[in-house]
Amino acid sequence: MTTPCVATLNNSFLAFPRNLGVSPSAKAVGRQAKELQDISNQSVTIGWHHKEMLKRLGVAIAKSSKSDWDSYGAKAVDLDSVHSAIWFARLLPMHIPIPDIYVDPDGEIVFEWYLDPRRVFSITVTRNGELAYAGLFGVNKVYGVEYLDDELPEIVIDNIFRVFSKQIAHGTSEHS
Amino acid sequence: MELASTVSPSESLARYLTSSTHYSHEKHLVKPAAFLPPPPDWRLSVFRIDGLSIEEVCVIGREKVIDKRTGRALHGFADIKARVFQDLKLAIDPDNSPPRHASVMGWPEDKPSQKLIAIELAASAKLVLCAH
Repeated sequence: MTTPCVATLNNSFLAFPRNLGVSPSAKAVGRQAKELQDISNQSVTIGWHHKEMLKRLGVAIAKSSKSDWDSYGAKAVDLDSVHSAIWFARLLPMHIPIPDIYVDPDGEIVFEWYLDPRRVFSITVTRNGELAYAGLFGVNKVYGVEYLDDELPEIVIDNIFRVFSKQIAHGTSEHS
Repeated sequence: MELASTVSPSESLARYLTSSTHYSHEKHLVKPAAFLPPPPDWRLSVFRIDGLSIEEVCVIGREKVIDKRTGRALHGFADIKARVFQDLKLAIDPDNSPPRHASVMGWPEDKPSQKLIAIELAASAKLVLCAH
């Protein structure tokens, strides 16, 4: 019953945890959550962030729908990665800058926050539902794998903010 | 100009940019996407460009990398020293097929490590755009 009510600061409130309940009550709650999402999506301020991300995702998919789209033998975009990427995009809170979105040579979707060559954080949403990430912050490096679930892993959020930490400290903001 | 049988650290290499996702026109920078190795063998294609003008490098890219049947455009190339690959523990195989071609090998198999290397390579590369 309470699953749609457990939004956290690190998640978009457009992303209710996946409702696994089968009882009539659980289904009713699921319907209400969906209605709330639809209303939020129509909002200019709330819906725009998510729509813009889906737009960028759509462009990336269209550019890589056939194999060898990069002339180097890249695989066509992978549908399992696309499904996971749509869920991942929904999880991103709207106060996070909208990332660049593209497809890697393996056919998997990449979300990338890029401020300059040494302030980059990049996440590949793999076909197995993993988040393979790497980042460069000056001389500091991070890389690893997290599993995509109902909430964004804290390390992912922290590293996205790390890209923009200097801008935030100086009171400016700019989307990548 | 005859090329040595091994690639020296000071040699310039070109990684051709075949997609708009490979660079930022606005910031005039090469993006990590340009250096992600392709499956299944993880051999990154580069060309040895010492002694060539920018236009000559662009001509090689159009003729040897871009498939003209697809109508795609060559955007430009990332100009990067061989030393950067070698410092990241990657090997350069100067296979010379086609002429001046080399393959960057020795990539780790896990994606996060590949991504980190691509980010570091992009940070050391210079963007050169080719005229259409």
